[in-house]
Amino acid sequence: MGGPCEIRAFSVSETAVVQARAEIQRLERKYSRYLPASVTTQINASAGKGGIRIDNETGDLLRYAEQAWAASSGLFDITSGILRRAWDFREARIPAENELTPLLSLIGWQKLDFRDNRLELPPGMEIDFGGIVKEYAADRAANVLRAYGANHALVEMAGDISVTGPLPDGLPWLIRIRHPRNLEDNSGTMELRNGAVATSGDYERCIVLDGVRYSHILNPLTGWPVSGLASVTVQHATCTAAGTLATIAMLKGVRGAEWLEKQGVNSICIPA
Amino acid sequence: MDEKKYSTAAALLAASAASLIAGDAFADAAPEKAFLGARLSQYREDSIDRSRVLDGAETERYTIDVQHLNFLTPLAGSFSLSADVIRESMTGASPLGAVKLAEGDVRVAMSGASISEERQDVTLGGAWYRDSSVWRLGAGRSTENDYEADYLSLGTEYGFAEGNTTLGVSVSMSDDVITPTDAETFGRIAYAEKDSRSVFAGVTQVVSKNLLVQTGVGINQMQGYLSDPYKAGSEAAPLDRRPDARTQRTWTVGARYFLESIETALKLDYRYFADDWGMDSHTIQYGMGRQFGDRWQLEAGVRVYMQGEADFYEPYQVPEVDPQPEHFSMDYRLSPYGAVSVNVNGRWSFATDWSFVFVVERYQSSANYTFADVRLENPGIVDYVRGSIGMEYRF
Amino acid sequence: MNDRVLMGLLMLTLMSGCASNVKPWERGTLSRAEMQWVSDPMEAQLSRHVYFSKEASTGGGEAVGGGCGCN
Repeated sequence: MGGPCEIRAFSVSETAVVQARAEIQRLERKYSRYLPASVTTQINASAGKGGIRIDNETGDLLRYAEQAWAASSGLFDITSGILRRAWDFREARIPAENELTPLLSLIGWQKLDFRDNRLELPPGMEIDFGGIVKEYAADRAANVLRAYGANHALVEMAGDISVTGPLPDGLPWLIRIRHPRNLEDNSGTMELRNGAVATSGDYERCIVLDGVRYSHILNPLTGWPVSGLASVTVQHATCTAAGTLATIAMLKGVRGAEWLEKQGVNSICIPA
Repeated sequence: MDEKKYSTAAALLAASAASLIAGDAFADAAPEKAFLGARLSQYREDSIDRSRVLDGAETERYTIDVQHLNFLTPLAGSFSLSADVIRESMTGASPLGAVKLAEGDVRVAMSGASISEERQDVTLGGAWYRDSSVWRLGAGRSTENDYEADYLSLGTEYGFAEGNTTLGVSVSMSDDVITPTDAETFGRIAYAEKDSRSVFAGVTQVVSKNLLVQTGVGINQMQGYLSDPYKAGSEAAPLDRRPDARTQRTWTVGARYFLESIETALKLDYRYFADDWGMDSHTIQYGMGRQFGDRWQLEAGVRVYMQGEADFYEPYQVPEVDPQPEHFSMDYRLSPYGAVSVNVNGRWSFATDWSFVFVVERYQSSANYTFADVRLENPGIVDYVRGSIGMEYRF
Repeated sequence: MNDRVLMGLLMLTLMSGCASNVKPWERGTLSRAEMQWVSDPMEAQLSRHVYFSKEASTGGGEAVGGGCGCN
């Protein structure tokens, strides 16, 4: 899932941890867009070919993605992945406007036909669960641990964390938020007794050209990277929702922190 | 429904994420844990009033002890398997028929004291859980020393509209073989067969987040020997002669409503039954169920049952009538009467994965409780008390 | 009986008419133990058998199960 996965648990059986990891691997195999047999690849291959039948779990993820799209006024859009064809962060090149325009016409959740357990993708469009599945996997792994009675466990997927309960003595897990520009510094600490923490930031992949920072978080409506916030960390009942809220806040740029305030969630926003 | 009741995006996403992670299904999902339940029950009929039976007849009626073991397990993610083993032992006397005495009384003749009978029933079931549907298969055999029934059932449920509507259809059949004891001695039929075929279709609808409604129709057709061989008398002097076919129709409607102010589930069920023997009935059940704390679940209910009479039912035999009608029966079960029962059902989850359950029911019948105008209450109608205790283990 | 069948069908149409838009995550209350259609299957099996053997009516809710000599 593009990062290390760590499980920390107290008084839990070996089986529980094995099963939790297995659940993460299952989701990786099922939704990785790099694997030819994954559901994501199959769905994208079906674009323009009349629709594809999807299983319950994928349907649930799509329904969740729809809620996120609606709640963010279209900013959080899982069809926006094709913008990576224009923005190659390894080449450090800014695309021209005429490269973006055709791609923008292939973006937009409203263009999909999604009903019950059938998804129809217009030709050329793609979906990518990357913005949801990492956090979802953390929650699912935590669920597995919980089912085995592990009430003091923590699952971390490259910075996104889901816990099943506090430390054995009742004290909370202390989550240190790294500063996006200076990884040695702390921007703050969050105490986690229950629930999850997720972070969205622009420090992982970006292009710096002429002193301007172009983050990898792209606005699906304009095709351009967002700016305003360097990173957002949100605490919420589930990692999935925390991750979506953090991403939406990043996508809203300078207005992100204000929007997050109105949501009444505990968060740390670091301006760019 | 008001979509805007989530005041913030965060609240909406929170609820949506919770559902996503839990994996809410469109149709039933395979059970997560295996289940083992053991239950002991006793059913005890009130003794029949001495004034209702012939002089010297037995007044103690049936007592039935039941032992029931139920096992259910998920299998390979999308399947489940279940097994039921039931053992019943019955002792006691039952009404054979009624006679009108010279004085005008109608009295019941009872069978001999303490017939002890055993019944064993084994059923196996399997279910296949698919994305929007469930397929179920069941087979079983019930054995007594004078009765054997083999049965098979197949059913499916389909979920639509994000699981808000479920359509269910099931068919079942039973082939029974009756071999009454002491057939020669009493001139009874020595061997008989009875076949049943039935089909049921129903719809369940989620009306709101607190209300579930269900309705269904069913047809059951029986063919073969449908009389009671122990009440039938003999070829020479028949006491009970029923048609060799019977078609029954049922219509059911029900609701489950969660009343938030008292955190209680209200349950209502109604069934209308009619058949081509002229019998029809209404059944209404009302119950309330509630959780108390983490460990207790209690349910209490009332059931009202009202039936009419079979076309060929006669409260007592009139031997002088010639010719005897083609079909006749004095069985109280085909007589017009009603019954009211109250029941209480409790579950105590005293440890993780372990529960203790108990059930008590009191059932009382009377000709006054039914819709028809009853000239004469069949003296054989029954009152009983029933109780169960059991243990359940989930793993 | 025909008008009963008609009533049944009417109920069916009425119910599909009030088809709601309850989202899967709003069905939490309906999944409570006390809200299950049958909250105790073992008890339901026993009571069904008792009523079947003491009354003239059977069925309602599913295809009829196995038989016995008790009726």
